[in-house]
Amino acid sequence: MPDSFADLIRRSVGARLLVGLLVCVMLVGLDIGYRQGVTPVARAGWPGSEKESAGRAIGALVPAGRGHIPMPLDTPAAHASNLLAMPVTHSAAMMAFWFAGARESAPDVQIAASRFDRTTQQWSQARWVVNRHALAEPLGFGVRRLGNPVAWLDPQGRIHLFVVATGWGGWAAARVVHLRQHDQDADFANLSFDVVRVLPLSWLWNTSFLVRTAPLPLQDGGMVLPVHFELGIKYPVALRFDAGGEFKGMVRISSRKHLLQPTLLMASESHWLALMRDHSPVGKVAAAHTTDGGQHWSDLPDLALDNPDSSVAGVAVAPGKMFLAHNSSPHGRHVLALSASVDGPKWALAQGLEKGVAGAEYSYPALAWSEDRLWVTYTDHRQRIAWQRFSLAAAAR
Amino acid sequence: MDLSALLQSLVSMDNPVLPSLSVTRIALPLAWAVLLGCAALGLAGRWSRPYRWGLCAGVMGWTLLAGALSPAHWLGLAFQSPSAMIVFMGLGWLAGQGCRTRGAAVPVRVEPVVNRVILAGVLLGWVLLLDTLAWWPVSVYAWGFSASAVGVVAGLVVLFWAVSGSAGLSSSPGQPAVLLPLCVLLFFVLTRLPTGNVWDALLDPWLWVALQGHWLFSAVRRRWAGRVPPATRA
Repeated sequence: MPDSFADLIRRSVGARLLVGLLVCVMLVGLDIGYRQGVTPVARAGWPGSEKESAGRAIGALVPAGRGHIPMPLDTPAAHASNLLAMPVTHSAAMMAFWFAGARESAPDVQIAASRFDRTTQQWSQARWVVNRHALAEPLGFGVRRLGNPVAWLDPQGRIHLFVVATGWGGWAAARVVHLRQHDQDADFANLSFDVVRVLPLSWLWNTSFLVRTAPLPLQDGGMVLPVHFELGIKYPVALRFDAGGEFKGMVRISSRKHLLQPTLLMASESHWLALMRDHSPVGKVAAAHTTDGGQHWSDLPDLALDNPDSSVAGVAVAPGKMFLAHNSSPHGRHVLALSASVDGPKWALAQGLEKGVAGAEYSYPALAWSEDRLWVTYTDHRQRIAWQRFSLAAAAR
Repeated sequence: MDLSALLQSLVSMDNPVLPSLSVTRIALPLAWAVLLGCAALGLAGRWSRPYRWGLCAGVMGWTLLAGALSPAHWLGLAFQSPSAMIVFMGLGWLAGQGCRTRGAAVPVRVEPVVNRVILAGVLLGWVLLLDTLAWWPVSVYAWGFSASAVGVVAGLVVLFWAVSGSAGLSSSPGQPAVLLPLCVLLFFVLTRLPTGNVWDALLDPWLWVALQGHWLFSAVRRRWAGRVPPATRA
């Protein structure tokens, strides 16, 4: 019988096709068996309660504090901060993460963190939370440089950090490493992270993807993390994660090859805007949008806002209330401002943040909305992280 | 799971399965150990058997060391993990070398069907490279996280096997050339190594470069053989 079967396979295309089909069905069936089922369509969620500010017309931003976040001792350089709003029950109102060291891309660069205490209304002394040597052991391979931390709080109250970790070749060889808080009950002095994985984002040795701006929270507890590719050309991508922090796929945001560091703003639960840094000579804040919860994106006309090839940060706090922190001068990063919009395409200056002389640098802003207050951090001359906080005044009737 | 859910699961690109860190932590040095062992064995081709295999084992052991002393620490930093395909090819080559050492004949002539498989690998690499540079309207790499990508690759491999016939596949390298992608797919489905993306399991950039080199060399050799008159050929 085996000889007859083997002869049949050898002689008959139909028999080979049938056997081949069975093999395919077996493989695919086995594959589907490992999967968790289809992820529901993403629906974005407003930060905080929509009711908190929906009834109030947007008025002036009222300053409610500013200064510099304390740096780790003997650390001359700092850059690329990111903010994480903490729950109302937490002793900290806000946490900030940034990279610091001798200089950008120095071998001693680590990820620093500080917390804004509700009681003292002060930022804590910064401490180191991630270094490249501690990443190497769990990963099983070396990490050359670190940068650009982005934080997210999952529904279980665990902090997730996404950090740029490079191989050989500088930022062009960057990868995104996902870490998760080791003990969610640990206090700030004992805050530490475990490596989850390096995110698989590229066939080319998994290189050239970076993270920079804050994730967009979703109603299912997950989030969408904006990243970008940067090897010669630059293009933005959105990564989806579920409530447990598990990777759920990637979608390209724009087909243009000169856009990076997208920031995501919610116009409605399935209509999102991506505003992006423009590396081209055009020098305007670029835009794209999705109307189906991130499944498909399409380009929009550039905004009227100037963009001197610098990072932007946006947040939508309620319907018709969007804010964007950006360098508003076309000539450099010496002017930093906050603009506001009700619809996304049209923006107006809401608040100046910094105005320096030519050559000064106030850049890489981060925005967060928490308990009716808008928080901003940004790099101050690559040496310190500055912060400002605003309340929304009720509009005059 | 009903039919509708099954079909949705098949085509969905947002339900990837990624290997855990504990699995990749073990797999990465093992994969590099196999490749470096092959390289050592190949480079020591003229040595006597015990020394060749001793060098191979030594290099593999060195690669399996933890930390910066291991070549895997630096190779992983630069190139992450090699594909499952090249690791399987390496293991197959090591097994073949073992047979050869014991006096058994190992076929070395490359069949036309193998050249077609190599060409498929070359084309796939170009598709993936241009996808990395955002040439295509949809992301091919993102598709590699889905069950449908596994199905399409498996379908193409079995279709190739079915229409090629068994004439070229009986006892030559042609048969492994067809079975190998299916074995890699099965390994990928069971382990999700190296990354959870089927393209990373099937092809890595260095393997692609090697396939291109081999295909170009073979093409030039065939063209040259066609130009040289029979009387002047060796």
